[in-house]
Amino acid sequence: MERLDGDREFLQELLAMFRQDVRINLEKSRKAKAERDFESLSRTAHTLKGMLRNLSMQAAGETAAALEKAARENRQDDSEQLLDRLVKELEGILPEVEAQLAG
Amino acid sequence: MRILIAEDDAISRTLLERTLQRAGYTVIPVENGAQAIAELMKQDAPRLALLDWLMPEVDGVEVCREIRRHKEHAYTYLILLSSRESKEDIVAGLESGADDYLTKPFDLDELKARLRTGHRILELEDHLVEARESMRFQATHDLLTSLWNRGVIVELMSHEIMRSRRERSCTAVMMCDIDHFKKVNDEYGHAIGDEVLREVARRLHSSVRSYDMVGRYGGEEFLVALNKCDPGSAVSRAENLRAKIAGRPIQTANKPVPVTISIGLALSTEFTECTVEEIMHQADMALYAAKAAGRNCVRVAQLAGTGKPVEERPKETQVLMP
Repeated sequence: MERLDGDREFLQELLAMFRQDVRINLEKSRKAKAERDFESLSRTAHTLKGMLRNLSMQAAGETAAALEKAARENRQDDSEQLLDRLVKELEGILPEVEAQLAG
Repeated sequence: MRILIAEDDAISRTLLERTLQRAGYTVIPVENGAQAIAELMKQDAPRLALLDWLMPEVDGVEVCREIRRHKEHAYTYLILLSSRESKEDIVAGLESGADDYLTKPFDLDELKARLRTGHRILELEDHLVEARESMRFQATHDLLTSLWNRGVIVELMSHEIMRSRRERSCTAVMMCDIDHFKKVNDEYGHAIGDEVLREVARRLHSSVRSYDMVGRYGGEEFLVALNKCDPGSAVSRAENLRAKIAGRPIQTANKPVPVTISIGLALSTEFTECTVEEIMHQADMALYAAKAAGRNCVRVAQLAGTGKPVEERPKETQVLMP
C-alpha cells in the first residue's frame, strides 16, 4: 500500500475495481472448471494473480499462481483443490475490501 | 513525454497509469493489443510503449512484431511486461522486436530507470535521423539558394525527359542566366550578389508548379524544367519567368537592385533524336542567342529539319523584349 503514497481515494477506486473483477473472474473460473477448460482456467488464474499481487494480497496471489500452473499442466485434482482454496481465501478478503469501501 | 500502456487487467492498468502520470508522463491507456497497434501506427503516435505480454487475441509479442514489420518512421521504444520469467520467454519477447523486458511484479524505480533508457535511445535516434536528413539535403541542394544542385537537377531532368518520351508529352528545358551579374558583384559587393542570387532563385521557384523543377546550374545560371508542358504555351511561360525577375528590382539590405535574366528554351518534343546533353546544349545555344539579342528576352532552340541538333545559332523568331 505504500506504493500508493497514502492516496486513499485512489485506493478506494482500485478496490472497487477489484471487487467487480474478482466476481467476474471467479465466475469464469467456476465455468471453466465445470467445462474442464483448463486453458481458460489457467488464463483466469493468471488475471487473478496479477490483481492480487498488485494489491499486495500475497497469500491469495500465490494460490492463484499455483492454480495457473496446475491448470496449464492439466492437473485436474490439483486445479480443483487450488480453486477451492482460492475461493476461500477470497471469501476472507472480500469482507475486508467491503469494509474499506464502506469506511 | 507520452506513453502508451496496453494492459487488459483494469487494476494493473490503472495503477500503472497513475504511477506514470505522477512521474510526469502523459498516458494513453488501452485494453488490448489491437487497440495498441491502432494507436502506435497513428501519425502522431506515442514513442514509448509498455505492453503486457498476455492479452486476449492480440498479445504483446504480436504487437511488437506488427509495429516492427509495418512502422517505418519514428522509432517506437517497446517494453514488454510479463510474469513469465523463463529464458525462452525472454528470448522470444526480444526476438519479436521488443527493446526491453520487465518481469511483474516490477519495482517502480526500476521501471522508471528503464523508461529513461528508452528516452535516451529515442533521443539518439532523433539526432541520427536529423543528421541524416540534413546531410541528404546538403548533398542534393545548393547551399546558397536551397535549390537543387547541378548534379541533381540534371539527373531529375533526364528522368523527366525520358518519361515524357514514353508518355508522348513534352518537357520544356530552360537555361536562365542573370544578365550582367558580374557588374552586380562589382558595383554592390559579393554579399549583395548573394542576395540577388537567392531572390532570383526564390522568384523562379515560386513561379513554377510544384511538379516542375528548378536548380542552380552554375554561378548565376539556373536550369528550369517544366514537366508535361504544352509546347504551345512554353514560350509564354518562359516569358512569364523573365517578367517575374525584370518586373521589379530586388530589395537587398542596402538598396534595390534592378536585375534581368535571359532564357534559352528547348522543347524535348523538338529534339526527339537527341540525348539529354544535346538538348541542354540546344537550350544553352538559345541562351547565347538571347544574350546576343540584347538580353532580358527568351529565345527558342530550333530544329534544323534533320532531327539532329543544330550547331549554329537558333533563329531569332521570338523577340520578346518588354
